[in-house]
Amino acid sequence: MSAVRTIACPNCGGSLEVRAAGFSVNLACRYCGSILDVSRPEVALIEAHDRAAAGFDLPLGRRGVLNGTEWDVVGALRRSDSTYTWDEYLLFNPYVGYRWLVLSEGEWQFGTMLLDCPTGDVYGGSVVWGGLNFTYEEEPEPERTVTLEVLGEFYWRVRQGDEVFALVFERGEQVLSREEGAGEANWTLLVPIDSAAVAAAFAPDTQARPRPRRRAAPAEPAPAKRQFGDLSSMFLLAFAAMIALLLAMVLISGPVDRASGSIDAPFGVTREGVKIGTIAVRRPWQFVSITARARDFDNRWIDLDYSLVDRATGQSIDGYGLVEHYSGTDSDGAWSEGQRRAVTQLGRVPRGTYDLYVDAAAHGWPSDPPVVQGSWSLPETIPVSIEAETGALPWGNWWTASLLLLLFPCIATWRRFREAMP
Amino acid sequence: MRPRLILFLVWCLLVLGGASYASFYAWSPYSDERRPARTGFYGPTHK
Repeated sequence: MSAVRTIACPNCGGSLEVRAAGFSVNLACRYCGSILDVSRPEVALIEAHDRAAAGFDLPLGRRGVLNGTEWDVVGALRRSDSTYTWDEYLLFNPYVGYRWLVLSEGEWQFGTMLLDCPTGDVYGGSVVWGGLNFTYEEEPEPERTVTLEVLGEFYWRVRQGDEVFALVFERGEQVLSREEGAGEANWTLLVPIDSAAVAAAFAPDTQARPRPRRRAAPAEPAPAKRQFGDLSSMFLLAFAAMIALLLAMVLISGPVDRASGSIDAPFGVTREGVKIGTIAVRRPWQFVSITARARDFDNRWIDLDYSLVDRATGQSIDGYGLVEHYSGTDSDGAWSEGQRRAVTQLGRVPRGTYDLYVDAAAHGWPSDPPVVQGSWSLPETIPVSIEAETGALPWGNWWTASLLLLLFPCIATWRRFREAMP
Repeated sequence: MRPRLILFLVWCLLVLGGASYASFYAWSPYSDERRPARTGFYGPTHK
């Protein structure tokens, strides 16, 4: 390991060791807490104190092997933001450099300072590093973080009361911490590390004290607000848009005009040109829905051809309907299929007065019923009632729009859960 | 407000506007002016 340099504290006279000599620029005296400049051969007092920082679990100078590398504990910080307090230990190996051990609520994280900057919009809530996407749980607002206690040596000028603004991005158990202060931003990758491994390496003096957690840790389920972040806002927005669209469609689609009648659909032949009624389209464009209903038939289908004929121009708008119902029994039991009701929607019907004509033909399954030759009775028919209505709501449009509105938050939710998976 | 939320708000307005426009002109991809492709085959599709 590196050569250890011994100095005397200019404030209290205590004997101190500089373990990362040549790398460290700052040292907080373990006896009086004074901040010393150790970057030059002559030690200078930066800030005098009369009380040493205490209560750190890892003593300075403790040496241990973690992740296959031998580390010296050279510095310790206690830091807090508006809610949480945690400890950070600076580890040093002359061949590898510096690393961090972070202790928060009894759980440890191993931190590596990044030499490259993650890409992406930091305040957009998502950054990419090493091809991996890290996200912020909620509104990315930098958290003011204050250094409460300083002990040991550091490679930058650190002192009590130092402030930085921190943002934490997560990807499962991994955390990217961004700290900005004094005109620069530093990124650290934090990964959870087993407390048993830390205990085996450094034998902490005391058991880790429970403290409020700041950084992400795997064991604790995140509160709902943190888990979903802005997703709840997105879902609320989507549902509000769905309701607003429904109201808009109701207002736009009216007014309603109805006409109804009936037609007997014969077997084998088509009954043509039966007038059902007259409807008026009073807006520049309206939907017209035509509903056909037949009762008490089975294993039959009825072909329906609709013609909306404009009284002014004689032009027709055509549509098609099919009413069918089948049933039977097989090895799985009884089954039925189809509906005795069919709705046909005609779009882009311009303003005007229209007569509705219907052609109808009934068919049997698997074959048409036989026609009795020479019989005086009328051929078998299926009565079908027809109702035409202007101002129908285009439900297909509404469901499609709802799907498009919910697609975005659903994908975001799926991605959030996928990233939260270990 | 996060940019993602703003983007989604714009998306909502686009969908809302598009669907309202389609309603005003009574246009729908689900209109039944044409016979369905099933024409030519009738009967149950059960088994």
